[in-house]
Amino acid sequence: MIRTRICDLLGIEYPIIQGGMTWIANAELAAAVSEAGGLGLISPNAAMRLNDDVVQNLRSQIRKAKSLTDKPFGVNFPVQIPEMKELIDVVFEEGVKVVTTSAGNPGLHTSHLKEGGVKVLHVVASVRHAVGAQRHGVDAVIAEGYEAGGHNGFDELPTLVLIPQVVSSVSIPVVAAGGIADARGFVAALALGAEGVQMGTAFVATHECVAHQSFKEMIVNATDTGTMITGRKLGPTRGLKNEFTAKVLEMDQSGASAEELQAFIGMARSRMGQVEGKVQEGEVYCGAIAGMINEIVGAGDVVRRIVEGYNRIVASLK
Amino acid sequence: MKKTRVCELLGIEYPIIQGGMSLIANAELAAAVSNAGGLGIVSPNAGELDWGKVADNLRSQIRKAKSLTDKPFGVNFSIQLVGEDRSLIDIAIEEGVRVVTIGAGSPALHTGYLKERGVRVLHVVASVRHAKGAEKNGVDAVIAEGYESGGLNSPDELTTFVLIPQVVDAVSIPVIAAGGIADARSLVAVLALGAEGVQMGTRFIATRECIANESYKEAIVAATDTSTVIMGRRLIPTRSLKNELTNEVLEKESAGAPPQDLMSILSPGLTAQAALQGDMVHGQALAGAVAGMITEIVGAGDVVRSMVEGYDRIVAGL
Repeated sequence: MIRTRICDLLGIEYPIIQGGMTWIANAELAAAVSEAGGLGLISPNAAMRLNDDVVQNLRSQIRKAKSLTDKPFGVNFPVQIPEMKELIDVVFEEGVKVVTTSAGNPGLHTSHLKEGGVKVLHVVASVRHAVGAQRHGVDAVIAEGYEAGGHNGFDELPTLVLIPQVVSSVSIPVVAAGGIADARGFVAALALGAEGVQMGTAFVATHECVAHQSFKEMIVNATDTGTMITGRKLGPTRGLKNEFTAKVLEMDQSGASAEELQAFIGMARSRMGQVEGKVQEGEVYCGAIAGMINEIVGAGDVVRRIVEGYNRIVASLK
Repeated sequence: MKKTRVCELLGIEYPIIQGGMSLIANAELAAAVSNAGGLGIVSPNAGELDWGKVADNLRSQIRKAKSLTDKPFGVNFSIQLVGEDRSLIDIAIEEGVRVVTIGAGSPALHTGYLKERGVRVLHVVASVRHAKGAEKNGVDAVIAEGYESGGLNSPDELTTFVLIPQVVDAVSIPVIAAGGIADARSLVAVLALGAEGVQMGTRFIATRECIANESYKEAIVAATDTSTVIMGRRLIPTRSLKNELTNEVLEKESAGAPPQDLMSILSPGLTAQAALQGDMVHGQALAGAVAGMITEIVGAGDVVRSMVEGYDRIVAGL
């Protein structure tokens, strides 16, 4: 298995990152990925109840992860969270060394985090944003394609075309995300010039993930056409097709405004689908790769299968 | 680069196919690709605006290609255009064409007829279900075309990155990847995903041999990562370069316009208006999402050669 700059940057063995998925990227999952040689990420609101204190929750998730692994792990922040300052203080106090930031401006927190000795990876979905993130001093970009589950870039650039263009535009390492679940996708992303991958959906369908069992089973049962994008007016979001996406699609097509869509979706709709297990009524974030995930396994096995498959696939290209 | 079953099937040196783009896949282009060791494909209406003259046009295109190369080349038939009528297919057979690609329709219509006459049939699919259907109907290989592709697209919107491995797992015949490929990096990537060849359209438009209007080629060269867009999601989705036409259609779609309103804007002559007449503002300039990766107009043979040369270097770096 190849070593890339991402391995050295993050102090990990394999350049495989588990996405910091909202509500469900919990300490046990992150620790299992890190123990297997990848990098696990924690979401500040992982496994918490709706009205719990997110700052307290993050601290307890980090402490739990530290009790489960001595290896590096990170935290993911969608940068618009109101409690960002307190959350970053927790990261510093608890000694977390890697933060991924997403859904916003890399200028907001990058230098503060870096002054505190934290490595910063920023999620981008176009060349322009990648170039901007590099200028703000991030250590690497996570270039996330249209295949990704959850919130998606407005530009809808798929991984196959996004990665090589970002790689050609920046000098920092590029981590590919969106559409990757196995060794084939891993090798493909590296062929495109990425130096690592981030996977979300593949890690939802694991024993350690706190996602509801109904959500995991829905991923396992999904076919190639099991996901779709909805809410293009608000911010495109990819999820498993269900009653919720059918309703949003219907509203979209009849010309509903962004406000009307937001009013229908409401708050914490994704928690309803992903944690409470109301997989029809709720929003079930999921990547387009769901059709390739056919069983619920250990999170460490996801990493090990990619590592084991790597040499075989590279050999087959010769 | 390595040989695959596609090389053997088509009698070519490298598994690189030039897409049979409507109006602009001309004999000179196809011959240049075939002479470089790939497979060129002629479109029956190459350079011909009058569908009533397409039979003579196809015959003269095939004869011209034969005068320019001794190597195999093919013809592409869109079921959307030819339907059940075999008169054009018969011309290809009479002229000794050995490979036909078929898209935008059922593989049950012409596959048996062509195969009984010794012609190799490659069918374009965009989902696992269609790939299995094509295999059942006896096609020799499928061309699995992702959401990145220019022109007509599937409502399923499966990107190449997730489509290819799932199709590869579902059929035993060779899979050719199309959509989002323009260089050696993407060639290696899709072979890692399990494809045994590639088909490229947009990359071959921006070549000297293609009869596309110079303004169209230059627009592809000038494109960035975010320059293409899908429109017509409620009709048949198509991907084109963004311009005033796509803005107008997308605005109407977003306001909930019914399909018939969109049909009245999208007249059939719009693609020729862009592709042959060079109206890049109001014409429909079909292009793949990979346009931003194409930065110069080169010889069609150079496209093939640079991919072949890049292949081993990229595989060695993995």
